[in-house]
Amino acid sequence: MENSNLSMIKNVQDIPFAKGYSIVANTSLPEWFLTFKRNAFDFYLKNYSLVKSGIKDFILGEKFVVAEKNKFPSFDMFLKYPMLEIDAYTVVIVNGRYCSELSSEEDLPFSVFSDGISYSICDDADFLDGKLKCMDNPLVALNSAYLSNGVVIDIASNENIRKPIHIISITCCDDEKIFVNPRIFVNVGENSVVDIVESNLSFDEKYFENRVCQFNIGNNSKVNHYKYFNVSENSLVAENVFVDVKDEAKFNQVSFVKNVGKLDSFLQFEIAEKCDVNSVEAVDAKNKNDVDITALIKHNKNDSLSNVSLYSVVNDEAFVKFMTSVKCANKIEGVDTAQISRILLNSSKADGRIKPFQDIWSEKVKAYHGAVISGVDAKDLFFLESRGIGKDDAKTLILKSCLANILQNIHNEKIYNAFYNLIWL
Amino acid sequence: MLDIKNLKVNVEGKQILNGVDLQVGSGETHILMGKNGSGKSSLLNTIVKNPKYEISGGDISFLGESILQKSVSDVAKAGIFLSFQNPPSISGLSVSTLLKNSVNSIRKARGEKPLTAPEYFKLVDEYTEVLEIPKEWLKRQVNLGFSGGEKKKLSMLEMLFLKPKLALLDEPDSGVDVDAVNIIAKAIDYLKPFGVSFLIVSHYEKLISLSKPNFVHIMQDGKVVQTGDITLAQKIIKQGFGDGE
Repeated sequence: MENSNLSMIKNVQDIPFAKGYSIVANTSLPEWFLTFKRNAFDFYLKNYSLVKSGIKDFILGEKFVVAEKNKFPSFDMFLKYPMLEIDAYTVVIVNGRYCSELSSEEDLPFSVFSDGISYSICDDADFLDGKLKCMDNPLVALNSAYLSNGVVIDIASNENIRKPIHIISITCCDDEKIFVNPRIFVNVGENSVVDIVESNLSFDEKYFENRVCQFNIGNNSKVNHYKYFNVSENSLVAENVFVDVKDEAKFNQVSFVKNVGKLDSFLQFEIAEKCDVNSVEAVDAKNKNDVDITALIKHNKNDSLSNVSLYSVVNDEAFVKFMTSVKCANKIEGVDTAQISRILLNSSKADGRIKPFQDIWSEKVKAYHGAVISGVDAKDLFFLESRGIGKDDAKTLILKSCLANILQNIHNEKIYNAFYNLIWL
Repeated sequence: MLDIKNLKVNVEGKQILNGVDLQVGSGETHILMGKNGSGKSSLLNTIVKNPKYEISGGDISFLGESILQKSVSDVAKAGIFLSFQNPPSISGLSVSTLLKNSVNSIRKARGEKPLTAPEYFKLVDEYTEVLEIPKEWLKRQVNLGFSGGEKKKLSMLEMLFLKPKLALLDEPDSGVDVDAVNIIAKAIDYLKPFGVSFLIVSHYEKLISLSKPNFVHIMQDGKVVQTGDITLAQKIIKQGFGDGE
């Protein structure tokens, strides 16, 4: 079994190995970066068995090819998988690679820098050195080995970016089953305000996406991150999101998963002093979707607030698992943290799991958690029917309402309307 | 309008209504009183076809047609509205979405077109003014975080939007302050000129007098045992139901 797994994983690594770790033929890449890639691959190989079994099952026996070129999707495909319709600066990633042709680089204000990571490494190696996540787990290590394909967005200090920045990540291929490694690195300086929207789109193809997103939020900054997934039911998406929130900063994340095949998502929040962190996610799981979301909230300093709320409607034969964990280090004071998970089962074959953990080593911390897995409440159904709404419509209204719990956390009216339409229309 | 004959109802195998007879005419206001457990709320829930209540005998007809075979939503579409004693909170569902969905379902059943946005906002302006509630409520989630009084006012807002032919109000005055009682009475007054009938469960003198009932009924052991005018209600409020009732 070990050997077959190893050969399976090597399928996706053949190309970079053959090229001696170097995907980007750019001699000006600094030595630290090449070492970084090599170390990442080595770590991945040594720890590949730690990769979750579901991911192994998905790629076992499949031959994925690392996407080497951008392939532009057809307009018809976009109609099938609707995008968020908002007025924003766009940053486009196709098959894990930053795509300057489709991005609105020239429209960006001077205080915002957006570019491919490889160019950023060449231009200003010191800026990224030490900031990029490398080997937090085998999937991050694997992504790090392809890191140069990703995108970096840097927002200067003391800026209020009035128009949202929309990161559109598209995956598309023909018959080849591809393997993509998007890396998104967002750095927000001190005292800045910005809305970042992220759309993840793909079509009907089978592919493996191993994405890593990093958000570094500077002191006293306010960042809203709105995320939307509408990708192929044949996809496997492994996602690692790291959010580092510095003192007195606010980070609000709202996510809606409208469609996905298998999603394995890990979110980690590192929270400093006097911060306010809110993360709310809704998953509309259907068919044989398999969604596993783990959120780890680490309070490292005093006097911060955090809330993680996860909602899902699980239809057909889908499966959803939510795990939330709060950690407060010893002697931490004044932390107020809440974890809420709600799974609404809408089929006898649908299934869900919720696991809340609290790892708190201080008595001066307020911690709350609530977890519910249930079907549609008969009292709610009767109430809506008594208002003249037919049984099927009433049920749909209750299911959509569960997903609509995220809307109250969207503070930009246009983005609110875009998400509202995705949920309700 | 509403004609209930010898109505018998079971809940989980236990008979809780034991032959109720009651008639409500068009444009009339009726008050229903009785001790706890006498069957008042059960009667109202049975009329709107709450599936928890199993009709084992008798009949309920509305506008000359039996409703025994109708679904919950069909009863509502026929024009019967229930203001719940304890309405549920529905997380994620905004008041606005509830109102639009319910009004348009009923309009569709009447063969009318859905409300346009200007028509909807005109009604919002009118009804929020009648009920003295802020428009921000429309963005709030249904009954979530509402106080007892706010829930009752929201129920009145739903009633004004749906403009039923018969409104069943289950203790609309419980847990509310004097000002809220006045507003509930205002909502009742607002609908009376449209010929709406009311069947109200209440023991609160102020609401009873403000609603100017045509009849007052006393329920006991799952039956209507006495009918009179407002003086009957005043007597009960003053003297209580008494041991023998």
